[in-house]
Amino acid sequence: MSTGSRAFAGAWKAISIALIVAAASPSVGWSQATADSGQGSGAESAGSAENWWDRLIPPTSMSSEVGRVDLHGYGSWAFADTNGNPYLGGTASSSWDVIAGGLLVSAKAFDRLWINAQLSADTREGDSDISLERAFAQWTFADWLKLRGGRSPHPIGIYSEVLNVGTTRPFFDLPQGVYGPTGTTTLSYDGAGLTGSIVLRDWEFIYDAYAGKAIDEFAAPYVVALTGPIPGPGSVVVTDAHDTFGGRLQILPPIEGLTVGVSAYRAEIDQTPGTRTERIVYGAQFEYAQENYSLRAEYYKQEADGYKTNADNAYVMGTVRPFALMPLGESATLLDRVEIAALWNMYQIRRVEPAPGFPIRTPKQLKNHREWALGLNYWFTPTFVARAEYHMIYDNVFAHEGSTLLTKLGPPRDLDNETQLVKVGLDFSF
Amino acid sequence: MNGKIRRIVITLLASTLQVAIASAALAGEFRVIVNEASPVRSLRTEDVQRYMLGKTTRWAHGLPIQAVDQTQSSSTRAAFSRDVLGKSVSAVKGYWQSQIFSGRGVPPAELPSDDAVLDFVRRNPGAIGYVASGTPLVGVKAVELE
Repeated sequence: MSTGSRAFAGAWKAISIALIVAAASPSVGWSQATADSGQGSGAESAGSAENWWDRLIPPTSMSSEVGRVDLHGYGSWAFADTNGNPYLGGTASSSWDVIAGGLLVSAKAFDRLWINAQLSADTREGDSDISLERAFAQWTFADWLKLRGGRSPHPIGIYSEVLNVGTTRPFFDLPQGVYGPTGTTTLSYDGAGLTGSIVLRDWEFIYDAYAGKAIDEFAAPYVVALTGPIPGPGSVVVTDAHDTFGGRLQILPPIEGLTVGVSAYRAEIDQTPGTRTERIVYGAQFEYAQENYSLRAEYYKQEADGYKTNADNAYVMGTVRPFALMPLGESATLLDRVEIAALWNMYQIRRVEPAPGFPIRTPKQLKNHREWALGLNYWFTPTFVARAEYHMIYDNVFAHEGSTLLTKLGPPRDLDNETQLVKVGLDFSF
Repeated sequence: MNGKIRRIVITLLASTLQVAIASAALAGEFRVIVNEASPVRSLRTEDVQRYMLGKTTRWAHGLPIQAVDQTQSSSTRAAFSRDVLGKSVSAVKGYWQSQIFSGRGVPPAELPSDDAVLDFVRRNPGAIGYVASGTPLVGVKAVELE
């Protein structure tokens, strides 16, 4: 059975379990039908929150939310074209087949137990992949203390928990320097974590702490730059991040739309068979999001001990709805939905020691990524957007196919370090 | 010429007045309601925000909070979103997209009418919702917003 098939089978198993648990509880309904479900019977606990322990961890009681099952999904379809190097699904031969999607099911099995499973699928450059993105259970002791176990989204930065959901961001893809295959963020981790929210005088503090094993993805040029060996076909190398542990703290001051935060984690990556290298990632996030404009920025630093190297990655991304800011009145409702987005993104490997046995001195273009992009979005609804975007990329950390990389680095070197990408299409979710 | 200017000024004044009247009407377009047995009499707007956005999931007296919303096309919901949540219905929808797909929460159930909301709140001791101002309240009580 292939990895994809195993993941698919595992995912359906998780979804089936979630559905069965929910079906076994007193009432079942999709989210719209929840309101018709059984009567709450928690009156007996209404007067029991008298002592300090009950205030800290409120007693369990049944509510009509028990048995609630929600089904959600997302999808993306795009045309992508580049002037040469492959990047974000685009190739020199153009493609209408940049398709991605996912399905999420969540069920409230008991008063405090919530089960969540998500499958994702994507097709790029003719390859299709289905994976179990997450399948975790969450036990809520109180709003400030929730325990998670299973395959959970990796909480780092602004977007790591919604990596593939296009309707949560201004561009088809997230800034690759931070969210691309560099090991800064991972899709999910298998393990346990704590999360919660604490409110102090109108300031909200959201924390996450976790430990387990994550799966890292690295762009092939990144691997070449660090280790020297020729990567296999395809442009991404997947490896396990063992003994991962870390946390995130997000602070929401009493200013609507403002969030700042810090994240850090430590992991051990397979360097060669039998040897691991420690990697530490830490950084900060800033977000100021209003209805008609937004500004987001993140910076992270990676340090990999075994490779004696470190890397910086950062981006600044802004959006504005120009017509919504103009006093055009009710007649401009349709124009209000037009959004302009801009992005600046960088990633830079700072190498300290050359890779042992690497035949060619690592070219600078394999250690850098600089990108700027402009996008035009039309939001039909908050869950359906049409996009057109242009990206200009300098250097080749992400914009190259690993399988031909070393050949192209040899003389005469014909690795083009400028890539232009045009992408047009739709993102939706439900 | 003067007559034209006068007409324009009067039109502008009338429009301004209309907007002011409409705003005043919107301010009283809904009432926040809870189950009749609930000990809650008044709530801070910030607390209602947290209940409706799933940030606080238990009442101070211990029961799970069961927030209920109205459908997206409802004018009562538009007024509630703007005045209490401080966002448009679209922005609230966007907020829930992030919550859903990050595995952090799911939105309140959406009910199609004031009667359906009343019925839900009446049947669930931990429920909180809102209905249009003129709706007769039976088996539920309105809470004062501070």
